[in-house]
Amino acid sequence: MNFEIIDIKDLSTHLGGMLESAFEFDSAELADSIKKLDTFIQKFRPDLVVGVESFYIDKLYRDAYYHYYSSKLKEYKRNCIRVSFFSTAISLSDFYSVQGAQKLQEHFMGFIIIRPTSPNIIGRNVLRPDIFVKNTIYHTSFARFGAAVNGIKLEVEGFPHSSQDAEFMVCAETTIWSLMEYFSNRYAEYKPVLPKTIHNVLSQLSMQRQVPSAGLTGLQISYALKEFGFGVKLYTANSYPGVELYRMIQMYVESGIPTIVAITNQNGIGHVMNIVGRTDLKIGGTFQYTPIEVFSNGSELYDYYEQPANYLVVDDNMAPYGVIPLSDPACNYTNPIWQNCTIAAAIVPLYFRIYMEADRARNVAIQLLKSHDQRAHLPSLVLRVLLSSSRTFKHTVSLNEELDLVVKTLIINIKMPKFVWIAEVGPPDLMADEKATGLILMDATEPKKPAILAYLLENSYIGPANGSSGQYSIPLSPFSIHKNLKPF
Amino acid sequence: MAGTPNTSSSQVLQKLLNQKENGNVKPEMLHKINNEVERKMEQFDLQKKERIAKAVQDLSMLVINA
Repeated sequence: MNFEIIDIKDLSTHLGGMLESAFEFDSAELADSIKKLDTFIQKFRPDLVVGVESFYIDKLYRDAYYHYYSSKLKEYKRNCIRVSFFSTAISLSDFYSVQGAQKLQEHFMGFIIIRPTSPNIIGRNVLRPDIFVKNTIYHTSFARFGAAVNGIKLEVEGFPHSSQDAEFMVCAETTIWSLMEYFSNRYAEYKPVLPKTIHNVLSQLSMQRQVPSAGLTGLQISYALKEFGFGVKLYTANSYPGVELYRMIQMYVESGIPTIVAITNQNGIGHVMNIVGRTDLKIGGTFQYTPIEVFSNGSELYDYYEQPANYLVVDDNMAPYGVIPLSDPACNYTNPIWQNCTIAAAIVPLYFRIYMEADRARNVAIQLLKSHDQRAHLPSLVLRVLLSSSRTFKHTVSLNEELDLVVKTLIINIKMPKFVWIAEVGPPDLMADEKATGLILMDATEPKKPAILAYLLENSYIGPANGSSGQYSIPLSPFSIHKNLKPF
Repeated sequence: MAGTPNTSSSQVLQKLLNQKENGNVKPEMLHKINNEVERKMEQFDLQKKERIAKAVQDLSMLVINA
């Protein structure tokens, strides 16, 4: 094994030599591969320093190698190259001291596996979203991934990605793999899966050979995720027309649940990608919402997710965290065949005991606000609905300095299931500053009944307190909204 | 180290509620609201059944291979 430190501007040249010697690429393979690499890293920060390790054994590529590439006449190498990125100058001596290791961890931006599958050489990678040059904050789901770089154990926060090799894995498999890699690194309930495992799970549903991969149907993707332990929910543009499908996707993504979207067009494109987050929504308090309900005194209710925002996709044909509007999900493709793609469906991998869906939670919240308005008039409000684990929610409430002690104590003492739906409301100007003035908590394990656990509105708390339920007058100052996505 | 007496969260909560002069507690409010909302969800539930059926049908025909 060899480890070298180079500047990112020299990466293509340096790697070119390695691809020739280690992978025995011919000139055409080399040119195609370097072109793919250059496209992949073109938006990386220019100040990065790169560590390059040869003879890296990658679990994802080895799965494809042993189950597919090794059976071909053309010879493919077994080993890969790993490229690690740092946001400051590093030296070899940093890898041999405690202080050096701390510096490496502080500046570690992620890694890319380079595999010998020309031209699609970009293999498994985990990159911090801020490795890219960008002019807005990225709010994303993330997990922590380990990488032992030149002997030093480092960790990086990001969403796992791999480009498709177009033979053993196409977009359907890579999207499932990426999702499982994320969930298994984030939550103990899930296991990582390799492509062969995905093929095995789907073998009984497949009426033809699975390798080389010809893709999957939307239902096969859903079936595989169900077999891997999720309570999958499906939404299509046909069943949720117009912005309704977007709202479903937005609520789940805001909840920190990566959502698979299938995109199609009239040219026969059928592709999937994971939506893992969004860009900053901050547009000031001047946004003109369209009312979704009008209260009895003429004040209006608006949907938080109507605000313009771009979403972040992990797409196996592109670098991770691609920025797209939901209305034009293939905007980053230059080939005309991808023109006019729209989101045809969303496949949502829910924890298997979440029984209440996003649209039901939203509707329950709206009906509650209308009922409350009959008793005490409400001002115009913006509604933001998201799902959270009760552990994370209670932790956030406990540490929220803007909440009164009595509010904190009331919320912490509520019996909650593992997941709760949260509906936050606030006037448009406050919500633009990410502050709410009201909160509705719903039981996510209840599919049929409204199951409102408690709510806080207009200085009233309605819910349980010390074993009995009631309405209490509680002064409520504007408080920061709950966030499940991490800003980068 | 043992905790100081009278520090259960229930006692703290009761003390805090008393301080907020809660003379207007309406015991059945949450139950009433839940019932009202439940009645208003009937239309939603009917529409939801149709949507689930449509979604499964759509997904079975969607081939993902790009």
